[in-house]
This record gives sequence, C-alpha cells and structure tokens, in this order.
Amino acid sequence: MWVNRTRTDIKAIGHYTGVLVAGIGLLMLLPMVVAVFLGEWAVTLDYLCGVTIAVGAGRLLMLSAPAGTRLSHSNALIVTGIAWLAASLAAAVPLALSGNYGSFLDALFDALSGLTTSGLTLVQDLDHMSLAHNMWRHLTHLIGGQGIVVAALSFAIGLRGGAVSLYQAEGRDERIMPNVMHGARFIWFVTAVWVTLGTIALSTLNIVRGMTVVRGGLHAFFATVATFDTGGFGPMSQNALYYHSPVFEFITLLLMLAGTLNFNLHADIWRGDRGELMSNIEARTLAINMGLLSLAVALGLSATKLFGSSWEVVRKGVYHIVSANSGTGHQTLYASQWATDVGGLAFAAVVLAMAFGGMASSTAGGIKALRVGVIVKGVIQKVRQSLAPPSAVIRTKYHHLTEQTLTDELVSGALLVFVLYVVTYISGGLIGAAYGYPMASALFESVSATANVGLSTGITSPMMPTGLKIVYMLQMWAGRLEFITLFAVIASAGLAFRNKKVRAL
Amino acid sequence: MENRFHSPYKHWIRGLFSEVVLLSLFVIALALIGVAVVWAR
Repeated sequence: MWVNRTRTDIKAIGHYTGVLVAGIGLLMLLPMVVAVFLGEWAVTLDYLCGVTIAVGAGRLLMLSAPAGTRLSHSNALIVTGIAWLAASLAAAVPLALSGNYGSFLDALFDALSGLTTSGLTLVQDLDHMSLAHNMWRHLTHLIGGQGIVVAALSFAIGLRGGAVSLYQAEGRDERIMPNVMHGARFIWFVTAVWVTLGTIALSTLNIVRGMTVVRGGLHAFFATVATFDTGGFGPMSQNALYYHSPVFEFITLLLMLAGTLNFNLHADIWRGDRGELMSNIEARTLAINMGLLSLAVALGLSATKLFGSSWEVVRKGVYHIVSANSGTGHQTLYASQWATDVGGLAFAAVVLAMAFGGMASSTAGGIKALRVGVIVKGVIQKVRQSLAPPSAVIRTKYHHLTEQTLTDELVSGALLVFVLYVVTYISGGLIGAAYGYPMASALFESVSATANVGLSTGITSPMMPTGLKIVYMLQMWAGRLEFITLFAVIASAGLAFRNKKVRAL
Repeated sequence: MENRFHSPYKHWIRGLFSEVVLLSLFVIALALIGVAVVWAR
C-alpha cells in the first residue's frame, strides 16, 4: 500500500531537514576560522555568506514543526534522501563563490561528490585554490563519510524524536551500540584516532620532504581525511601522484584499508577480539577480492610494458586496486592513461574492484563485500541442495559479528541491491556512450560515480555536457543511499504530484 | 557478559595497534602476490 504524506508528516520532514542544513552551515565556521587565521579575507566573506544562507534556510525550515517532533521510519527515509541534496546545496555556496568553478552546478557537483565521498571533481585551477576552500572540500568528505545524520547525532544537534529512524535510514542497518547516540560517537572516536595518527605521520613526511609546517600539516590533514573517509579529493590537481613518494602511498594504503573496515569490526578489534577480522565473512570476501584483483592487475600491467620495473608494476597495481576496492579514488596515474596505456585486463580489474566496493557500515561505497559474500554463499548452498537427496535439509552458516544462518530472504535482499547497482552502472555507461564517449571509459566513469569511488578516465571535467553532470550527480546520490531511500523520495514526490492533480480536476 | 563498548583504553590501544599491524601485513601480502605474478611472467 502506498502511504500519502499528511501535512504533519511534511512539517516533520521540513523540520529535520532544516536541522541538518543548519548543522552544515555551522560546520562552515571551521574553514572560516582557517581563512581568518591565514589572512584570506575574501574567502572569509565566502564562508560568511555560506553560514548565513545555510543557517538561515535551516532555521526557517525548522520552524515548520516544534523540536522533538516524532519522525516515523518512512519519513526518516525521505528526510535522509532530501537532506543529502539540501546539504549539498548549502555546502556548494562558498565553493561557488570561490571563483574555482565555472557555474553553481559545478560547485554543487563537487559538494555532492564530497559529501558522498566520491571524489570526482569539476574544480578549475585547483593548484591555486585557497587552503580554506580546500579545507571545506575535504571536510565534506569527513561529514559525509560518517554520515550527515551521524554527524548531527554525535554533536546532539536537535534530532531528538527522530534519532533511531534517521540513523537507520542513512544506510546503517547494523547498530554498533545499543544506543544510536553512543554508536554515532564511537564512529567519530575511531575516525578521530585514525585521522590524528594519519595526519601526524603524513605531516612528518611532508615536512621532512621540504614543505612548510602549515602547508605540510594541512596537506597531511586533507590527504588523511580523503583516504580514511574513502573520498579521493586532493589539494593538488595531480592527486596522490603529486607526492611521488612510496612512504606516502604506504601510509595512505593503510588509511584506505582502515576506512573500508566496517565500524562494527573496529569495535570488536578495539575491545580485544582480533579473531573477528579473520573469521568475518565480509573481511574474508574483501581480502580474497583484493588478492585476486591484485593478481589480475599485476598480470595486466606487466603485459603492457608500461612500467620499466617490477617494483613500479606492483606499486601502481596494488595502490589502484586498494583505492578502487575501498572506494577511495586516489590515483597515481594520469587520468588519460586508463583508456590508453594500462591495457584491458588491468582496466577491467580496476572497474570490478570499484563495482564490488568495501564493507558495509563503513565509509566505502559499491555493492559491498558482505552482499557479495552472502550471494556467493547462496550460490554454494543452491549447488549443495541440487546435489543432495530431496529429503536433506541444507543449512549454511556464516560469521558476521555473530554466527548467522543464511536465509533466502538475506540472499534475495543482497541480490536486489546487487542488481540495482549493476543496472545503474550499465545505464550510466550507456548514457555516457550516448554523449559520444568511448563505451569502456563511460562505463569506468559510471561505476566510479555510482560506487562513490572517484577514479576518472578524464570524462569528468568542467567541459563535460551538463546532462552528464546531472546523471553522475544522481548516480553518486543513489549509490551513497543504496537506492531504497532515493526510491522513497521519488515515490513520495510522485504521490504528492498525483494527489495535487486529482484535487485540481 | 563483557561490555564490549566500555573497554579500557589499554584494550583500545592494543586494538588499534593490531589493526595497524594486520593491515600492514595485508598490504605486504598484496605486494607479494604482485611480485610473484611479475616474476612468474
């Protein structure tokens, strides 16, 4: 049955969307402080405008219902869906004023790409962008990676009455802790520890290699946030290639892998249960996946003779497989090399790595290792059933935090999301091809957008057609919310439109 | 039953250290796969 939204529902949706937009506005105070500290006065004004517009619009929306209004699960889905767009609109304001974007749409593309931790970018002259604007671009990864709702919950920003529903609607169906507020804070605690460690390690490296303390420290912070949150933005146009350092690549590899770990796994390991990492179906699936794809990429790259030494083949191959599989999108190759130089096998391995994605309840995107593992187990169970006598009852168990039994419902749920991802990957590829791009490159870019990765063959650029920019934005949004939330927003909008039409007749 | 969410700091530091070590070993394992493939060709 389709449920129509009542006026009270719409007011509650407006209120909670307002809370989240106002929260984004308040977070813009951080780059504003950086701009003041660095004496970037024009940039300070950009953020003053951003804060005023976001907090003002958020407060206005909040007036639609009193604080603490109850939010049903279905309304929470709609708030989450709308909030990611509304937050992107707010986050795009200072970027659009920066002078580094051709239009507001381009700034919105980057804001959405940042919040969804995709990392595709339409920025122009990035190498001369102010540090405060770069700070905001990377903070969008940090906010979006943990989840806008999680961010708001952690700082106890007025979500009373809708906390549990919103938390689940954001794609976190597993509770790390019995209390969602504590769960949200744990997520931020783990992130804070890893980001601090990563920033210290990379700052030291940058300073030793000749950067000033401020620049080295900020670059380290940006790189750490972009890797742990599996985002992929970088402060320089050459991305990770700019640093030309195996030590930088090793540290960011660790950060990417830590970022793609399920926060429940972090919780278990941090309480001393290290065995969970070895027995968890998700960890095993991801490890096997990365192992096989590393093998394929090494075979592919060594066949092309692109690199002079075996060391370079392994260094580039492993880096890109982990970057793609974790959904980060940092690259140490030039974008154009994907289509021309790396060869078919390495290209296909990277596309598959992006498509599969990281772990559930992490900052990674894509189909997710848990679903791939469940589907593989489901296939094995079917084969066992077909070979067993008709009277035999076949049960398959797997370990994911606890011992679990595979059910048809679990397998069909995983298959449904798998199919939705594959259809979106292919549809985006076909649309890109319809705009005149080579099919392989268009598919690569489509997978990268939907799985929130950020690797690019060069199609994503300020010069790309407006229609394709909008398609990639929809793909990033749908991929981050894993489709169901998006469908809930579309269905509700469709119902509201139909009812309005009926009333008008 | 042990409360998994109120672990002492000692456990957290050990856990973090384990993560760093295990993930480093995993990166080395991936690199070794690559080396083996290149060497075999």
